Formats: sequence, structure tokens, C-alpha cells
Amino acid sequence: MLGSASRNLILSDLALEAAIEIEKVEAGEKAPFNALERLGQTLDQSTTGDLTLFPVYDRALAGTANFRATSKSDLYGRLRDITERMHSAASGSTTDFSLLREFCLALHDALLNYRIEHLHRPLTGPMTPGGEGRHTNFSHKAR
Amino acid sequence: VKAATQIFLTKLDKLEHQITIARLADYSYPDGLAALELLQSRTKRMRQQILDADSYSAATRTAIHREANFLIVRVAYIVGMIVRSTSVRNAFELYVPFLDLCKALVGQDARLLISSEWQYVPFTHPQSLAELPDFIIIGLPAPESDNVLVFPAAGHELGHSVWSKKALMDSTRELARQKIDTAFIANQDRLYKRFLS
Repeated sequence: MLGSASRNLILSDLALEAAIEIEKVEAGEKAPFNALERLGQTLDQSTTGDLTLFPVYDRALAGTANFRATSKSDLYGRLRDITERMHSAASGSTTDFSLLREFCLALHDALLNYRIEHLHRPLTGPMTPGGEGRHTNFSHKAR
Repeated sequence: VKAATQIFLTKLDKLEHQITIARLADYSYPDGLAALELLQSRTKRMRQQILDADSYSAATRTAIHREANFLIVRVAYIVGMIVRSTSVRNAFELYVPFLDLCKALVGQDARLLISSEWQYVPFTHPQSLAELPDFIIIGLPAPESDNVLVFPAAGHELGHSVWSKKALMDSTRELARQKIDTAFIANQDRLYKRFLS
């Protein structure tokens, strides 16, 4: 099972790749929407129960024009709206690509900030210098 | 090629070059090389995104540049630990038994890097690095490399992995609270004498 740090990295990668896919399609390329589809599926799963990324989704919606959520239920409703648009785009329907790209970039931005803020620093010990007075005394060498 | 693109390409090229050099080191066990391959693959993919970024909108380009900055910082940090895992200050003869211990306690997918670090505090990344999710990385203090007692500290560090992998916090918090409450109630006189006198 993946840890939260890896899950966030995968979601962040998907958001950036999806934005790039949209860029390519907007430029006239016939690029597949693989990342966009997977991002939609991942968001479908992660918005049912897991509240860890609630602030991230909130920031991502706030960074998307006219999608700022005013309440928790509003947030889920707007996320559902966005993910439906993702699935719709992935299945070939024309949709508002610039809105989706804006959301993907805002989501990537929010996730990157979250990854920086919640960077997994190493866990230390048993010595904690200057902290809790639990120093391991390595001077007890075998004699 | 735009100036910003060139700067990122130069940084990524230098990083990739260092990873290539690191791969030439003498690895006694395969996990160091496997970790470098994963990081090199991420770096190569980032390089391609930077190359393509000039044809995208400014917003997408900025997102790619931010991601590249973060990747460079992270990968450099991790490659440093992998390189130091080849130092002769490491107790290589203890690696395999310790890996067996990791697999038995954390799971068969566990991979291990033990590195001799220039911090006087043993530390661990207990499968918590997003870039290397299967890897347990343990850093042990280089100045104590002649001290056999530094290795039990690695056991302590492995405990962090077991603690998070098996979510022991959930199962032990309530049990510990109950035991402490019971001990306090059963020994109230001693408690008050010790702490409230």
C-alpha cells in the first residue's frame, strides 16, 4: 500500500501531465487524454471519505475561475462537476479545455505546496541532541 | 531555447551526470542501484518536460519549472544518501541479515539502504520518501563507524518503519492509555507522593 507522500506525488504528476495533454490538444495535436482520465478516476476515489487532501482541493478550486467552494458539500459538488468534465473530455466530447487546464494547474500548484509543507523529514533517534535529553551514549564501547 | 529552459536543462544535466557517476560506484547489494535507476528515470522525464515546456502556455511552463526545482532539490538529497551507502564506513556484513529483518517485519517488498552519514544522529526515512516508496533508508553516524553499538540504533530506526507500516499508533494508543490509567489508579499514593508533594 502506498504511503500518503507517494499518493500525493502520483496525484501531482497526474495533474501536471493532464495539463500538458490539454495544452497539446489545444495546440491541435491528437494527444490521448490518458493522464486526464486517470486523474478523474483518482479524484473520484479520493473524494469519497479521505479528508486529508480537503484543503488541497479547496485551494485548487479557489485557483479555478468561478469554482471557489463556499462549503464542504459545495466543494464536493464542484469537484464532481470537474471530474465529470474530465471523463467527458477523455471520452472525446468537446468541453471547456481551458477550465480543465486551469484546474489541473491549480491542483498541481496546491499539491506541490502541500508536498513542500509536509515534506517527510527523516525521523531521528534514539539520540535527540538538545531536545529531550535522550542521548545515546556511544562512548560505551566494548572494552 | 529560452533562457529559463536552458538554466533548468543545465541543472538537470548536471544532476543526471552525478547520478550516472553514482551508478558507477561499487554497490555490494542491488538496492542502491535500483534506487538510482528510479531517480534517473524521474530526472529524464522531467528533462523532457522542460524541453517541451517552451511550446506551452506561461502557466503550464511555470508549473513545470516549479516541479523541476523541487525535483532537483529532492533528488540531490536522496542521491547523496545513496552515494554514502557505498562508503567503507558502512558495516556491509550486517546488510543482508538486516534486510531479512526488514522483510520479515515490514513486508517482502521492503528495500533497504543503510548509509554512513555526517550527522551525529541516526535517522530514517521509513518508506516515506515519495520518490522511493518501497525503500527504508537508515542513516548512521560516520564518526561512530568503529562502534558496534551503532548498529542497534539501526534496529531502533527500523522500528519507525514497523510503527508506520503496521499503523501501531492506532492499536497501541488506547491500550497504553488504559494501562497508564490502571497503574495510576492502583498506585495513587505513590503517584501523589512523587508528583504532587
